[in-house]
Amino acid sequence: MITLRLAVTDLTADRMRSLVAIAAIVPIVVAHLVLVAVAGTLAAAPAGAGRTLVLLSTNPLDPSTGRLDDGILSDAVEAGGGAVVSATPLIFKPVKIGEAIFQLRAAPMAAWGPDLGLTLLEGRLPEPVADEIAITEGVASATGWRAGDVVEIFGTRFTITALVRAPGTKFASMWMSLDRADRLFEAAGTFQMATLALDPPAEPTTVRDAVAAAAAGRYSVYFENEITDLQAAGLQAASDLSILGTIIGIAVLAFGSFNLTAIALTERAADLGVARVLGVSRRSLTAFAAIRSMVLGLGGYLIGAALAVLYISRQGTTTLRSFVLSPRLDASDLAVAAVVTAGAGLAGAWLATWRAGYRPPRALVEGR
Amino acid sequence: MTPSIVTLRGVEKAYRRGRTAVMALDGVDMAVEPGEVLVVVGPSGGGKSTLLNLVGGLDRPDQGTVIVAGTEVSAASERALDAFRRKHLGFVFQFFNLLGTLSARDNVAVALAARRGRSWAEARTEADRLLAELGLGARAEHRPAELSGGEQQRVAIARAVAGEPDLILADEPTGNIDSAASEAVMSLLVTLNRDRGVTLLIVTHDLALRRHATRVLEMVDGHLSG
Repeated sequence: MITLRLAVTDLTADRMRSLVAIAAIVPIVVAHLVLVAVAGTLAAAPAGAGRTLVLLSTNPLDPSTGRLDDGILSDAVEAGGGAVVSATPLIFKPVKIGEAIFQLRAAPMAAWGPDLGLTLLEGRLPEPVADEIAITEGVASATGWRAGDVVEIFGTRFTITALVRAPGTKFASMWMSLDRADRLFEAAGTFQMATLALDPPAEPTTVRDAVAAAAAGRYSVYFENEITDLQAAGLQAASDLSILGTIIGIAVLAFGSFNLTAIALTERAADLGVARVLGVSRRSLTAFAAIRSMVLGLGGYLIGAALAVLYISRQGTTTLRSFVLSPRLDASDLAVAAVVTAGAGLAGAWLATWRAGYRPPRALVEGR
Repeated sequence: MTPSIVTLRGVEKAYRRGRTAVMALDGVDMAVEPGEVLVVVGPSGGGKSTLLNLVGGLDRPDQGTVIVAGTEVSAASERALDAFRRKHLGFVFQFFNLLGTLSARDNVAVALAARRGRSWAEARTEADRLLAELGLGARAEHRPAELSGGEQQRVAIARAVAGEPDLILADEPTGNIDSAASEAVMSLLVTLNRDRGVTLLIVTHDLALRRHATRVLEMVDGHLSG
């Protein structure tokens, strides 16, 4: 209790110095928490369904030269032997708007809800043959577009009629009917991709093998989660980098706390020496430094955490290139940061007082 | 016969200055009896402060034995020295060495809490009593920077007395205050010696302090002479 009182007295005696020490910790805590939040959202990228097959055209990049058609799709469904409950053709094309790259996706309107899981958030769904599109939250967030806006895509002016949520993807995307896309890209009834949803009792690998055997070089077959994994490879690398950044953040936090304590104790070497001369044990000095460091660290943590939470909540959903990121902090993230801050402060205090404690009291008193 | 409170036998201590070893204490033998006011005089650099540091366990001799209040401080562990200083010693420094962030009261209270295990409230009450006894009752709330040199040294003496040590070690206690304050400080130390029986070992280059001593030794070039 005495050590706590002395630590608090010491901190309040020079408020400006204490505030500067807290201010030094705040940006480290903010950076740490923002990195953790970003790393968390990157790591939470959807894996896709392991019971959905994806047929890919041998030329999947250009919708105008898509190699899949209704006949090929019928063959694939037939090869599935009744295990395929729905087949959805898709056209897609990357769209660059400013610095962001989005995906334009087109599918039959009837498949948007039941097969693709799109949810209408605002407005109304586009008319199949009109120059109308829907956009996801990621596109809205990145571009500022809203339902009712008219935008130009591939030389054609489209009206945005709906804001939709597409739960199966982390890609920001805009959607139109397959008929409209067919005319836009002059695809003549071809498409680049199709998804085949399988009946739950069916054994997926067997079905995939059967569908692949019927391909005869016309398409490739994957499980949807394999495609998503491939697409998310870059995302995973970013996630790994974020985790590395988080680790570096923790190290910086620990090192910063250690340095703050060490500098404070170096400046107070004579006081430490006097305390030793008075008979104050090294354990008590360590407790004093630890409490002092904890108070500063937790002060910095509380302010830093509040700023990070405020920043992340105001930021909401953001789009990084074509990836939709929704950074979130949960209680465990905040608890870990608190423990790291306090632990690093304690470690710094312990190491610094251990170092000071092994100098002779005479040298400390004389400031050497 | 009462054993000596301080005994030094064949104590040597050298410091290195660059490549040269300077002999601060060269075969010093000394005994201080309980209740004495022993003043060690001598020029600066003669080894007086080194003598005090060794007696206080703040430094260790290269050779010889230092025994204080029954503890062989020259061979004790750091932890044992912490306990030894807590129990037996009070220090008065030339530059006061008060804790700048604490009030006069809290400077004394820290010593009481550390040395006698008093609760903080008890320590502060006792500190107030001690400061009042030394004529500083009105200055208890002030921090060192708000006190004169003489007042700071009296607070340092109150801190040294706190916990009723057997021995007070004073290093140039009047070296940084004016003559009027010096007289007050020395009177205070002598009164404490007389009333509480605390032994005083004072090192100084101020020859005027000799008149307060029960015994005077001179230290020149690391050698002690009566």
